[in-house]
Amino acid sequence: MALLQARDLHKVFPGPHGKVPALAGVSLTLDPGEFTAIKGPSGCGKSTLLFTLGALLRPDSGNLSVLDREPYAMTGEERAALRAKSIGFVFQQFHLTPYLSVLENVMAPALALPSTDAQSRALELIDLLGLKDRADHVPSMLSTGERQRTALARALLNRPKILLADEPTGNLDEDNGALVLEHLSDFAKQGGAVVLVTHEREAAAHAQRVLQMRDGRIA
Amino acid sequence: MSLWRLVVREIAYRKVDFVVSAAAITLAVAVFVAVMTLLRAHEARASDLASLRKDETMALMRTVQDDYRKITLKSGYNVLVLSKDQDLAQFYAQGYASEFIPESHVNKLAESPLITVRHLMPTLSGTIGWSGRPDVHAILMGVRSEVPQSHLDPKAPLSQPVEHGQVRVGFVLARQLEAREGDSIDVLGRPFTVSEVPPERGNADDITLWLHLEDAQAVLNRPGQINAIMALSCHCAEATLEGIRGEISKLLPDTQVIQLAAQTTVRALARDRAAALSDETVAAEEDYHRTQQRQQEALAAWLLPVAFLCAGAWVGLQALVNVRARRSEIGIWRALGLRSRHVIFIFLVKAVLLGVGGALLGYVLGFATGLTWSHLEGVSFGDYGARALFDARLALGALFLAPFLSVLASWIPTQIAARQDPVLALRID
Ligand SMILES: Nc1ncnc2c1ncn2[C@@H]1O[C@H](COP(=O)(O)OP(=O)(O)O)[C@@H](O)[C@H]1O
Ligand SMILES: [Mg+2]
Repeated sequence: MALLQARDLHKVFPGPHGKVPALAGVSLTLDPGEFTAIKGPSGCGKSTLLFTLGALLRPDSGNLSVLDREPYAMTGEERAALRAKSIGFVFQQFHLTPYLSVLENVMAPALALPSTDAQSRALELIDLLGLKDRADHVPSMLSTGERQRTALARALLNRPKILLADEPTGNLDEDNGALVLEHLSDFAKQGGAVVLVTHEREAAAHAQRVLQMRDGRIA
Repeated sequence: MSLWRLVVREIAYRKVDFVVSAAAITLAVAVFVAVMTLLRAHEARASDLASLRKDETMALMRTVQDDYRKITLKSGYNVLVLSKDQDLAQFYAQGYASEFIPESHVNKLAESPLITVRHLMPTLSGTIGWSGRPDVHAILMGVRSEVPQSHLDPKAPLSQPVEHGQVRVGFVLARQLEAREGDSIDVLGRPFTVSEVPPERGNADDITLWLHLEDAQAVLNRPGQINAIMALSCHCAEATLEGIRGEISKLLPDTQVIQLAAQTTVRALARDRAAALSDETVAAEEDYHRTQQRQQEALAAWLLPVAFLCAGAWVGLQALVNVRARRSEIGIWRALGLRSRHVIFIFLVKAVLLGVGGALLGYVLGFATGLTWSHLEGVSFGDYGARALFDARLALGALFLAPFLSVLASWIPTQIAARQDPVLALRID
């Protein structure tokens, strides 16, 4: 059974020189354990696709089902609950909350989906990602690699089925980038589905399939 | 980690922003509390002066009453013995009694070993008219000199007695009947010689006809009966009015006893004297504080709304700036699955903390200002110090009002935060 199924997604943005078709009929299926990389030039619609798959951006038309449920047929509250439970995000800019410690940032998803073992789970992930000595540090005290690993730990806290990563290695040096990709691979190996947006060839090498995107379409 | 903790962390992170917002609330609350404290100071001083004057009056009244009590203790009580059936309302309204008691009561009273009375005056009264003169009415009063007490020296009579066959005619009545001293007038068919026409008194005496008691009993056809016994300077073992009344009603069970003295007169006297004595400067100071209070109330009426409006606008603007600065923060929360109500909670809790913080600081600041200000305006600190001017209701009011104001001002920015598109925020950077 597919974890995620997208059919014929369309999304048009208004631009200064007329309409910009960010998604022009994208169809995609993610199976458990599948690591998918999406490549393509800047502005071809990769981020737009990721937001749409992540139940954050409603498409103009087309169909999306995540774990057999249709996010865009739900209320905003239900969609938020679905994101909290099943989808993890990682961004190029990390988007860590600057005034929270590493541990608190990692535990933030528990605010949306409270659980009794949130803290032990967070500590486990921090350990796994090599951040043990950094648990009480705030983001500004971390290296970029540590920041991205914190963001990754945060994305994994609620044990999602799908991990959506938008150029997660874009700001990292080679070693740290490789480390993050290693963890994405591990997530897929444990039965999750990973979508990695990247324009780096080495990054795409970790994926089982590489999709090329151009002008809002998958080639 | 809870949402509360998150809010506190954010406040600590953006300390300066928080202080800048709180300062506006602090200022507004301080102005509010200072003005209210000042008003309270004037109010406290004014009402204290008023009660000071009242206390003086009361003290004086107690002295006068005490004096009166001492006098009656020495000279005894003056009472009136009436029939138990006498309606007192009627008695006080018409000025004389209309129910009857036997004349022998006078002797019983005079001979009682338990009660000593200096003067006993039995009276019989009634109203009479003249046939052919429907316009003339008189109160007929039968009197006799006081009954001498066997074991006491005879005392000088209190009022001039009337002899048998004679009549004393009140001033107005004498004019109506065209009666002069030495004339003979007819009273219910019997002739009497006018012994005296007393000068005008301006009361019921002017239409009263005095006869000797026995003559009155004869013309009114009430032999051996009277309406009242006036007993002056009564003493008994118990030197109280209650004691006298008790003794008399034991002796004469079919009677009631009333006192012939007006307590109200004593009070009025005391008040008059107190008013006269009352210090004019006290009244003037009281007046000063009342005037100050009125003027400052007028000031507060426009100053307070302006202060709160400005603080609200400032807090609202700061909240808007805060929401703009935290766009990507809000975006990532939404991506992580936090609901819009979580976002609302986060911003409103911050607003409440802002209000509480501002109120606490503002209260302290405002109270200190109010104290100093009222001191400068001449409210003496000795009696009206901090404790007297502290108003728990004002403190509580400020503590509730400020967070309410803060929440109100942050309402629109909070709604903007809750409705913000997370995607737009996450794209930026
Ligand atoms: N909110 C938006 N408003 C207008 N245009 C947008 C908006 N979001 C994206 N776009 C446009 O859509 C196209 C696709 O953007 P994006 O998905 O970010 O591309 P990529 O991530 O591949 O660089 C771009 O031309 C971009 O300018
Ligand atoms: Mg992009």
